Amino acid sequence: MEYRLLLPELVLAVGILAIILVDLWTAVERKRWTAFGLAALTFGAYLIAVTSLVGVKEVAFAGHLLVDDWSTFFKLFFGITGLLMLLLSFEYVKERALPPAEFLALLIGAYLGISILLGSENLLTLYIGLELISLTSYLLAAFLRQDPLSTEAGLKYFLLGSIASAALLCGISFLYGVTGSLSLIVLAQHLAVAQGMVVTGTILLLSGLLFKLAAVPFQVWAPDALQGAPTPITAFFSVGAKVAVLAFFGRFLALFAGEFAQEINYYFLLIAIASMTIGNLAALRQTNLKRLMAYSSIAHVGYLLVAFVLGTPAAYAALQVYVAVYAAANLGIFAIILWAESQGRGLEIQGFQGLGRVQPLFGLALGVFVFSLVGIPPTGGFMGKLLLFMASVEEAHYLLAVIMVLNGVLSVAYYYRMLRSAFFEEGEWNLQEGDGHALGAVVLVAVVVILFTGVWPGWLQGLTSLPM
Amino acid sequence: MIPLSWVLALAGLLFGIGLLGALLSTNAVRMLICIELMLNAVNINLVAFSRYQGQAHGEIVALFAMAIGAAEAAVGLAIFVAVARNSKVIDIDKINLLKW
Repeated sequence: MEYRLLLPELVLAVGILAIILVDLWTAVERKRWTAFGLAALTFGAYLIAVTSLVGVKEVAFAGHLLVDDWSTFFKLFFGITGLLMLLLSFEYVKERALPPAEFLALLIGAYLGISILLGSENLLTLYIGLELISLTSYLLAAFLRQDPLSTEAGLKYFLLGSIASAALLCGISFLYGVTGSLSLIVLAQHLAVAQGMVVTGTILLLSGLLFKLAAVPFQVWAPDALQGAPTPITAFFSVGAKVAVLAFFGRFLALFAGEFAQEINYYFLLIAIASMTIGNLAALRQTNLKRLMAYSSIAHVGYLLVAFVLGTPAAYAALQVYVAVYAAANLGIFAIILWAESQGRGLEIQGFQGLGRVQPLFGLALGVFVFSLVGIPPTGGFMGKLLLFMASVEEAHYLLAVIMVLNGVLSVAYYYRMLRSAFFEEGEWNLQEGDGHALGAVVLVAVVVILFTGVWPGWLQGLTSLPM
Repeated sequence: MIPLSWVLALAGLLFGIGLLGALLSTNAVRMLICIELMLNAVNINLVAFSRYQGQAHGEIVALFAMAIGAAEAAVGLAIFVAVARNSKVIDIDKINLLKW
């Protein structure tokens, strides 16, 4: 019964078709509720399907699909972020008069790609999953068709992304040429020897993947795409494809062995340090909230890549904690940004002025998210950073640990500006009677996850084991 | 039989032309054509490897790559149309609202 292993992906695929089909027979005024209801059902069914696979470790479909605890952990993670994404975009779709069925079909399409990528044990499945994420992401970035910023974001993302995909496919072709197989397991036997075509193929493949992560030096597209995209989609970009690719790295980088592994490790160290430093430095001068969060996510990708440089079980465990709290804080901040945007406050940092006075609960939550992103106790972000820090000290990467701490200090400067704006500056607010309940729910979930992880990070680590 | 290296040289040349064109041209449609050229170069690569290894995996990947490439072109052209409606040009030097 191999199809049981494919059930989560099948659920998402059926969900996409159902949303598009049902939309055709729905009256205009009920379209939004129907589409969102079906999408919520889809993600709910997805979560149930994934839960039924907890503890299973099997390879199916002639080595194309792998189900293990590592992929199941991330599938659960994405099921939950999927539900939060629905809450984030529920009001936005109405405000901007976007077609809900198309929006959700594309969004779930991206999640389908993510799910395929997480389970890929084969270069072909990897490519298909990654392209499914990319193609839907380009369209979602350009989804506000009347807004020049949004279409420009889509254009830039598309052009650079397609070049990266072509490079990735070229890398796959070289690796296939050497090994005569697409399977990662067969590939692993050839990755110990650094000979010409293996090196070229690996570099091209990793470049394509690092592009999706927006790690330095492949980060140029990220600020533009994240600033121009519709705000809920910006939230999705800052966690979605990035975390999926990181999860795949956990599987892929474990394949390398010997001298070649050390070389790759060395480059990852450089990329990690460059990403966090450049991301943080560039964020210092941003005034647009979405652009600032884009640079901040580049910096966080740098921290997360540290886990692969270390490659120890402790580092992978730290990665899981870090990813969960990072996603919670990011989605929470974007919920507050969306709320401020819906109140006509714009997307500049000044939009937060007076937030702490007019909406104290959101102000307080903003404080929690910012503390978590900087890494101040008792938030989950502190735990994530602490675990990573301890893992790097254990491996005697002292310089790396120092650079991580210095970067944490650097990031205080720009995160603090958000808090200063919210609490110490006055702003004019004409509160409209709107239902911010959906956004409030996202903020609540995010705060609970962050504080709970800050006290007891073990609940995340207990869920899963390591790749390979 | 033509040696593998010749075919790979052809594919490498095509890939290089495509990459240079994609990086140097400013017209988005021209960039899309160059990207398609890169994808086709990779397809030649895959089919050649597949042939010389005497198995079909590479050819199957090439088929998938073609289908995905076609989808990519459709998505790209749709975005270009949306951009052209907003700004009347499709020249990436003139589309510069987003910058730091």
